[in-house]
Amino acid sequence: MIWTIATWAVIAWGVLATLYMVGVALLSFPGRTVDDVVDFLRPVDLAQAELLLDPGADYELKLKLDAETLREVQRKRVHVYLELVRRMAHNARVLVEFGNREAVRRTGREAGVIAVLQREAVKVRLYSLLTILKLRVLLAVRPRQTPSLVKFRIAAEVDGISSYKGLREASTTAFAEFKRPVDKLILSF
Amino acid sequence: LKLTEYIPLALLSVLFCVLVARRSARAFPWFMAYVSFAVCADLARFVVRDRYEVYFFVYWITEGVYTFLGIAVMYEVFRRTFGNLGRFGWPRWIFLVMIVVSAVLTVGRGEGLPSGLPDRTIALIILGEIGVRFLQVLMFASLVTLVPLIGLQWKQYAFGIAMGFGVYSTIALLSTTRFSVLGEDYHLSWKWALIISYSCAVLIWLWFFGAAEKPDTPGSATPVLSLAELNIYRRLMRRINR
Repeated sequence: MIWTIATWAVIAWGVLATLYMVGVALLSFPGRTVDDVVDFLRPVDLAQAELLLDPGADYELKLKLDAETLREVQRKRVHVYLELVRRMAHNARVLVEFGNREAVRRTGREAGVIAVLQREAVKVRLYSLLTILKLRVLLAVRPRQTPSLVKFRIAAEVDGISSYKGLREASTTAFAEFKRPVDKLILSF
Repeated sequence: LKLTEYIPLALLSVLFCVLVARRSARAFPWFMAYVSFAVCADLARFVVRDRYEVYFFVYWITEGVYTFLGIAVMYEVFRRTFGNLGRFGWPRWIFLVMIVVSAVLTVGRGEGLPSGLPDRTIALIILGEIGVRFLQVLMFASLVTLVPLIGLQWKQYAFGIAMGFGVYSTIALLSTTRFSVLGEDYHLSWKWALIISYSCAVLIWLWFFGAAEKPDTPGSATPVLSLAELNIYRRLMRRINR
């Protein structure tokens, strides 16, 4: 019985992977160039994210609010942070796609800039996906708890805020290297 | 109609020419060996198709070699995709884990083998084939999982090889599992499912190798996953282990 289930699980994984690749081949964005980045980025308010992760603000809420209100506020804060992290994951994905395309076309200095961009984007992607997973599980498993966001600043030894700042710097450098205006990038990123 | 069984041979011959033109033997020696052997094996089967006894031996010997080459090609894909393995210990384990999982599943499913097989060697070859199918699906599915997770670049030869084998092996495992349940009634569909899926696999390889792979830049000497990325995953693995 267990072997049958395991076999079908492997087959199902293979079928899903095949279907996913068909979808990617047909529907994915065709070659993301430097001009196809800015319009696809979603704004991330890092100051707001820092505030949500701030232990001081968390402590203040615990002092001022009663248990019921605190639970409601904390859950709202979790949902706001989830939205921010989702945007971070999306932006990292866009920049990874851009990096993947350019990494094999560029040489010398440009290749170095793209390598840094890819590295930073992968870090952000890793952090944000793990954080989304952890928060989703937490919300599902303990719906009545009041989760504090402080411990979600770091995931897989990646500091979410610092790595996103690093990604911003790397993408700004890449845009400057490719001689594209960085002001629109900063505004939408 | 019988000749349609040899469509994969025609496609493989075209693929062989493409691989020679692309000088792929340097980058993918085992895959090149696999394709060369597949052309020779199919030709040999075609030549002796009317002589039952000779065909029997040619068929099973070539199937045994296919099993060995299948594992070698998967290792080649793994090394190519996961980059410089010499510097870290843990990435080596991924392939080993896949081999172990495939072997365990094969042995677990081995009870389903027909008991009336005349030769133990043939039984072992069939088990080896099923094991390689599992390995190929696991490798393909693992690589595909990395595409949405970390944006793994999929337009590369190594990924194409894994995809061709993965699609074929998924359908092969699916139809073989059905065959083991339904028996002889399903034999014809099983046979055609294998021919069609293998033709699809060769078409996938042709599609990937039809386009020139971009030359490596100095910055991307370690392919696909950079050292920094590997470091991140290593730290992640350590945290999970703790």
